[in-house]
Parts: sequence; structure tokens; C-alpha cells
Amino acid sequence: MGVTIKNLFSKGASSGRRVLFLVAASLLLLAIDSFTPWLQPARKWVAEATVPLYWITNIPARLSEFGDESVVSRQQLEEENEQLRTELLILKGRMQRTTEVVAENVRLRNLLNATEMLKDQVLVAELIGVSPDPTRHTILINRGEENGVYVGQALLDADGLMGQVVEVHRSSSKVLLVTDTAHALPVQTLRNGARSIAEGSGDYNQLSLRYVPPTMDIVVGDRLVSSGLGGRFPVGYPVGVVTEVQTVAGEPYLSVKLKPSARIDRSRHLLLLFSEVETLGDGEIGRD
Amino acid sequence: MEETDPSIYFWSALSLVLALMLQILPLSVAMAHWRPQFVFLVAIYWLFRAPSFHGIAFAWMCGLMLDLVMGELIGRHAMSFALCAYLLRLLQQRFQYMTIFHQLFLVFPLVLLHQLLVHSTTLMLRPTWQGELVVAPAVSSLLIWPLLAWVLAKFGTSEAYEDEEISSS
Repeated sequence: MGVTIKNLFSKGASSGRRVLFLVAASLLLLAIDSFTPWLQPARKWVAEATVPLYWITNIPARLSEFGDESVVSRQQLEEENEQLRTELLILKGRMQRTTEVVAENVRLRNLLNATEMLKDQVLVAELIGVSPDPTRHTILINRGEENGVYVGQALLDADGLMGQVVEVHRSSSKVLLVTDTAHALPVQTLRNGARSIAEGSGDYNQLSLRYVPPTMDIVVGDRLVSSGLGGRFPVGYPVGVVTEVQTVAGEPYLSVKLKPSARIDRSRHLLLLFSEVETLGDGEIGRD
Repeated sequence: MEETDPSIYFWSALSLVLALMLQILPLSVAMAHWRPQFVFLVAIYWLFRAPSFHGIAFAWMCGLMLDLVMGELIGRHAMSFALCAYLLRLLQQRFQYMTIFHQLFLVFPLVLLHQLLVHSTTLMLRPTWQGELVVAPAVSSLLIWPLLAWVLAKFGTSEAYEDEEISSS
């Protein structure tokens, strides 16, 4: 046994041939994987098998979170409770106005004969893994096919858009974050509705706008929301705030930098958005 | 020095799984840049320690596992692992009788080459070249190698073998 294996793996003339064969095999795999979807089933199966690995490696983060949550003084809890109550009161107050605004919006839409209205439902998800490659901004979340997650679904945190689902497995899914260099999403400014495209920069704290003409009315501090064009993301979710607008000599477009609204590298508790188009009849408007 | 017991496969597989876990351990952004290439180091360790059981094919499989676990393009690590293993094979005779300090001079360029190969395949897809992403893991791998080699020497070795190894290095 030992001898045969030794012969099999001994260095010699065959070693060069073997490495050539393996490199060719790798290149073939690379080509197949980048140009065809043939490896997708295998990938799905492997992702299922590696979830426990990600789960185990995430234990330290969970432990520290558990420690933060369960080892707190009574006073701290009371303070937090008080703060949350105040926040809830403020939010409830705002909600009252929102209800009215929504009703008004429905009425106006009806006047415009635009009867479609988006109704968004959310599902709470938790982060279970982060891409080990620092050039790639993807995360794993603990919801998958079982929960009705689908490719292209939007993911939010408490403050804004985080990204979109790119791979769905049985009980987990992979999400491409808005800051990944391969990600772009259509946005508009809240102030005047000027449209643009926000691109990931590879930095968790920065997005940039593409093809902004120098005549466009955009200033530092403008808030950008998703515009809903392209059909991937629903309208009106916060994307970022403009932090820098610069004219670059010799460039036909402005260089505009954003700070993402979502806390891309910190949020652990996330929301998956299920948007469904709902046709509003007269009865419903009457009820509002 | 030469391993003869096929049970060494169990130990290399175990260390490979541990290395994979270290490789995907969530770290902060700044730390992730400096993450040593654990799987690569473990692969070259076994190539060096038990060459009759672990060849270029073993390295290629380690790379493939890493590709699968990372869920990125399949084949980019595998290719680099195989090429580096081949280079290591060419230098094997010299490598075997080096002290840990001398090994560092070989480990560093190897990890650097590996990083360059992996990043150049990434570059074909996305134009994000960050030089520090090539150098930083090589430096941290260099620093962790003595510790790693010391820990892995305890894998699947009887006391007697360990003594022998200590006296030979």
C-alpha cells in the first residue's frame, strides 16, 4: 500500500505532467463556472454542507452578543427600557401621521388612475456568516427556500437597504451587499427626485454615483432612496446620504460619494422584504 | 523523517478542516486583510512532512475545498495550490533539512506567489486591485508559520517520533 502510493506521488517526470493536468482542470472549472450555470447544483449542495462550518465559526460572535445581552446591570436595563419606551412613543406618534399620508396617497393615486400599490411584508433574518474574502462583500443569512426566500429579494436593516439575495439554499441564503464592487442599484434623491445609479466601491462605508452630469442638482447632504427602476428593489427605501460632490478635471461626469444608510458591516438582525403588488379597489379606499 | 503510516491521512484531513474554519472565521474588515492563509500553510506543511502521501493532487484538492467553502469562483485556489505545490516539490530536498527559521524564507515567497495567482484570476472578473491584499496575508502567514508548524507536529505523532523530529531540526 505504502509503496504504491509512494510511486503514485513520487516526484519525477510525471510530476510536471500531473501539475499541467491539474492546472488545466482548474482552468476548465474556472471557465465553466464563470460562463455557464452548470456548476450551480453542485454549488448549492456544497453550500448546504458548509453551513455548519459557518455556524461553528460564528460562535464567538454569538457568544459576545449573548454576553452583552445577558450580563447587564438592573440599572442599565431600566435605562434602556425607558429609552425604548420614549422611542416607541415618538414612533407611534409618527405612525399616526403616516396612516393619514398613506390614505391620502391612495386617494391621489386613484385620481391618477394608478391603482397599483406596493404592500411590503418583512421577515426577520439573522446574519450567520460573512464572506472570508475581503474583496467580496457577501453575507450568509439564516433564511432560505423553506421560508420562501427568492433570488433578487431585497434585504434591509433598521436604517436602510443592505443588499439583495443572490443564492438561495435550503435554510440559508447568500446576500450581495450594496457596497460590493459588482453591485449597482437605481436611486433618486429625496429632495427633487433626480435619478442616478449607486455603485458599490468595495468599502463598507462608501457608495458612489455613476454618470452624474455636472448640471444635475445634487448637493452634499442629499438623501437618496431606491427609485424602483429596474424592478429589483422596491421604491423609497433609504440608500445613502451624499458626502462629497466633486468636479474632476477632464472628466465629463461629477464624482459623487455616498455614505450608506444601512450599517453594512455591523447589523446582525436584518429584514427580508416580500413586496407584492396589490390592486386597490374602491372599497378599500373607502375604508381608509 | 519519512512517514509510513497511512493513518496520517486522518490527521491531514482533520487539520485541513480546522484550517478551513480558521479561514472563514468572521473578522473585522481591518483584521480580515491580515488573515493568514491557513489552508495554504497546512497544505504545504503536509507536503513537506509526508511527501509520500501528500502530493500535488492533495494540494489541488485542498484548494478545491477552499474554493467550495468560500463559495466564490471554483478553481482559482485549486490552480494556485497545484502550481505552488509543484514548485515546492522541485525544492523539496532543500526544504526538508531546513530549520523553522530557514523555512520562513521559502514560505513567504510561496504565499506571496499564491496570493498573486489568486488575485490575478479575480482581476479577470472584477477590476479591484489592492496591493495590500496580496502582501498583508503573506506577512501574517510568515509570522504564524512557526506556531502552526509546532502545533501540526503534534498531529498523529507518537512521543518517540516527536523527539526524533526535535533532534533533527
